Amino acid sequence: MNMKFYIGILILILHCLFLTGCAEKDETVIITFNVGRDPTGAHYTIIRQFQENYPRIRVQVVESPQDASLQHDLYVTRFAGKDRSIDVIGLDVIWIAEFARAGWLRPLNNLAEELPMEDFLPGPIEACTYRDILYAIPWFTDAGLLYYRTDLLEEYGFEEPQTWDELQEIVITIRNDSPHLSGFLIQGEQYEGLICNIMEFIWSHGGDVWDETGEWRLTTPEAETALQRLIDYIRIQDITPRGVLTYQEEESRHIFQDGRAIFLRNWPYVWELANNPATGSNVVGNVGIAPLPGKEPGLHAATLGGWNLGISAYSEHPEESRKLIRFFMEYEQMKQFSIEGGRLPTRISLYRDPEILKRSPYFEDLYEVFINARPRPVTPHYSQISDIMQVNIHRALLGRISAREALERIDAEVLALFDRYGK
Amino acid sequence: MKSRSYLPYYFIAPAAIIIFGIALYPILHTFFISLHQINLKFPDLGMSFVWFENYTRLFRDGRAMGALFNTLFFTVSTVALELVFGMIIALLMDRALRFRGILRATVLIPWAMPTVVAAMLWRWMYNDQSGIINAMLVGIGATSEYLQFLAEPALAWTAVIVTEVWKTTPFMALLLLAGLQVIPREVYEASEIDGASRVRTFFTITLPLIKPVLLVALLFRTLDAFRVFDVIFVMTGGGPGNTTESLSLYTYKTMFGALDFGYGSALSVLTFICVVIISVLYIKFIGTKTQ
Amino acid sequence: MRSTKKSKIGFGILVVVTVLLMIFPFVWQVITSFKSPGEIFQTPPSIIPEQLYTQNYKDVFTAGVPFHWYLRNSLIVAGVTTLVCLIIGSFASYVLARFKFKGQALFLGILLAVAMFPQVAIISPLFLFFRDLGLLNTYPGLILPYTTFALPLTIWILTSFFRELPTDLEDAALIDGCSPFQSFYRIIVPLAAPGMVTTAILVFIFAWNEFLFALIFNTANHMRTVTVGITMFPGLHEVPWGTIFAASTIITLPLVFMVLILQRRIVQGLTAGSVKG
Repeated sequence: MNMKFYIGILILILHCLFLTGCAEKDETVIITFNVGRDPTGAHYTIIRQFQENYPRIRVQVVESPQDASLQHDLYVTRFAGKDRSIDVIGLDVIWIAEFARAGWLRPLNNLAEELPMEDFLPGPIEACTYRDILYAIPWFTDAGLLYYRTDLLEEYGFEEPQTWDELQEIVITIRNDSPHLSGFLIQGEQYEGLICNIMEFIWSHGGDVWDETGEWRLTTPEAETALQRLIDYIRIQDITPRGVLTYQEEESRHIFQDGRAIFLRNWPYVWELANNPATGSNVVGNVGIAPLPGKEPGLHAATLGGWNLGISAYSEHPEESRKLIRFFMEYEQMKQFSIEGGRLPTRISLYRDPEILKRSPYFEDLYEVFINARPRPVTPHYSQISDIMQVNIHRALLGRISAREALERIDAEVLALFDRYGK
Repeated sequence: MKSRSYLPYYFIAPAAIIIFGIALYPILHTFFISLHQINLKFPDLGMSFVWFENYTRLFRDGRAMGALFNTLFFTVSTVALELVFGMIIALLMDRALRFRGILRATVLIPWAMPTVVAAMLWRWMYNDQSGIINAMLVGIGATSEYLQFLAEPALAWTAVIVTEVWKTTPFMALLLLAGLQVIPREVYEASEIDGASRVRTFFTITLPLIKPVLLVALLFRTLDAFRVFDVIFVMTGGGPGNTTESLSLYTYKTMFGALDFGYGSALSVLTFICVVIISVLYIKFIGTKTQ
Repeated sequence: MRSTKKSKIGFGILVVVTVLLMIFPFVWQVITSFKSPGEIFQTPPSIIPEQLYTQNYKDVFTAGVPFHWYLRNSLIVAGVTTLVCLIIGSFASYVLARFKFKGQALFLGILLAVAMFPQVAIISPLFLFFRDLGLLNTYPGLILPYTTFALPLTIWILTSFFRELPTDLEDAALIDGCSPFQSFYRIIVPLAAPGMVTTAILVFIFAWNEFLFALIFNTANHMRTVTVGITMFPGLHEVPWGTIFAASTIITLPLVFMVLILQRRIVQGLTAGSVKG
């Protein structure tokens, strides 16, 4: 029995040697395209076209779960091991500064020279740039929007709200008659989505995390008013149900499209689902979409989401990888990808393309939102800053600490972080 | 039995080779890293040897201490509940003669479900609007309006503990059952002739006989509970207001979020040391002697 | 044992209640997996699906995720892990239970230490190690770590079982001229069947449900296991609950059947034990 075991181990070892040993050299170059799985499979179409255009380059698609934190774990482990199996990589907007600082991404300034950079949305470009060097090219984008029930607003004679005060008024009026309806849904769990929501609140009150000199400072009257407003919504005015403290995107979308809420903050993906009866939506045809309100009219804000393509610093085929990224960024390819995959393009001109507008008519009205969407703080410390903010803001929303305390604690912890590692 | 030459060593060799070959290096490596300041995000800062700085930082870090306290609370409450329910179920299964097969298979289901999915399922059953638990509580009149389970610290803790106990009681039950089944029936018969009550029989006969299995079950449940990650990560993400963050979750955020591998390793070692202490206590107090 | 009619009924009720509590969430998952996307989020939730919506199950296999591959991979990995663990583990447990030798306590201690270590800490060095061995995206690449981390549990359980078994039969066998290996194989293993089967079930489920190693080590689609496979269903924002619950039901059922089949072995072990006891 013992003998058998050892033979087994021996076979095993030989098996492994064989597997690694026979990576043969070939005329064609194989590059890997590492992205989260997309159920629409739209990138496959583009890759097929690419391989037809570049017969000597073969693209191997390596899909991972779409969940951003799982992808992050996966890539961090690989990069930490200087793994050479990654060539082109799909990057969440919030990773780029971090990965660039770690030296895991290849600068793409030379690629920028080949692309019409002025045609790209400014927000994503800002997120892809670290210390004036471009490390990724925006692939598709995302931005926070306000969804509302057109039927309800019409019934009560309201226009879509321009300011938070108007939104409040609408909710209070409608809920007077229908108290079972939720007013305004956000994503308020202790997770990344909370930061997207809170940044929109802060920006739309004229605040920011950086002051005029570029130093970190969140304890400002603007930010305090913003956070206090959300606390009041949840804890006092019942504009926003307390359950939002446990909601991510999907929970809030389902309640909204089931017809149980007046307003919803969410990403553009909700539009098609809420208007599709096959998803079980009860609000088909009654969904309005608008920029999020501001403290004053016109002070809209939207948090930038979306994904970008970069090249691993350990890639052995940077030239071929560059070609693939450039191909994805061509007008026609991005258009096709956007239409098939239902993604928001990153090239400004596409927002005027008739075919794109035919598929997503709301692009025209919301062009301003997409072009003005702002990235979350672009710093290699982002994931830690986000964690610090999640903890303290969630505590404030829970009523454990005041808005001011939360902001002061965030400032203290973030500044300690900068002291430790530099900004 | 007396040891004869090297025979025992041949028998443990395969296990030893695999364990030493695969687990030892990463574990020692973690200890090594925990004595360094190293953050993958800042390769230019390098990896500097800082002695026990990461450990002294640990004790000044309120969040780490909070997570440690949470983890202890979680471990004690879940393992205690699992022990009680596990024992009840094991005794039921040991006695139920006709449906033992079905019973065992159904009771095992929670343990067989992937933890991540089970946590997602429970998260959704606790939902404050379409959760079945709220519907049932209102149905039986236990509460008049829907509760926001995962939004209030006390309720969130209850929710997480219930999920964990539900998920892992089968492990306890199955092990205890196996222990019960190697007890010869004659032992019970003898006790019955003596006229001992059932409760007395359980405490004087059954319990001592299954003590070795009980120890293993408790030990491994405690080790697992102390490293709890999935259930909390999926259900609350550490919220509300970070009140349910466990040590493993904090370690994970430190290593894979902040990429602070030095401090993250120190947190891992802290977890490890705590579990070692707990194990030693178990073995001292309930454990049978090594031979 | 003394049993009146009353206590029998009480016992029956207790059994039913326990079973209901334990399987309710699973039943709820099955019910939900037969609901249409709109119905899943209704308030209050419907107890019985309005119509039997089977699309979720079709989606598991046709939504562009090769779920049957994942099932195959999980079966192979969990099956081999269980087998290797039992064989290697029972050897070690036998001598740990029956012999006294130098380093015994140390070995048991190291076993526990391995079982205790937080996995997030060791994933990184282990990844490098396995990559250098060329074990990424292979079955051994998962079987080896699973075996490593399941062996402590296996050995501790089996040792505790072997200790409980009477030694007189083995002594007799040794006098009759059996080698220690033969006495182990012929006498100990059959006697300890309940413990062996229980261990097998626990190890199999551990390997079947492991997530972190599977996520990091096996990134190629054809080598993915079911737990990671389930996380492949969600889109960028959209989470198809129905499909996920259907997939979860599908991967839980094989385990239930396995336990039902293994029942027999446990009963056999029981009779063998009581004869010798």
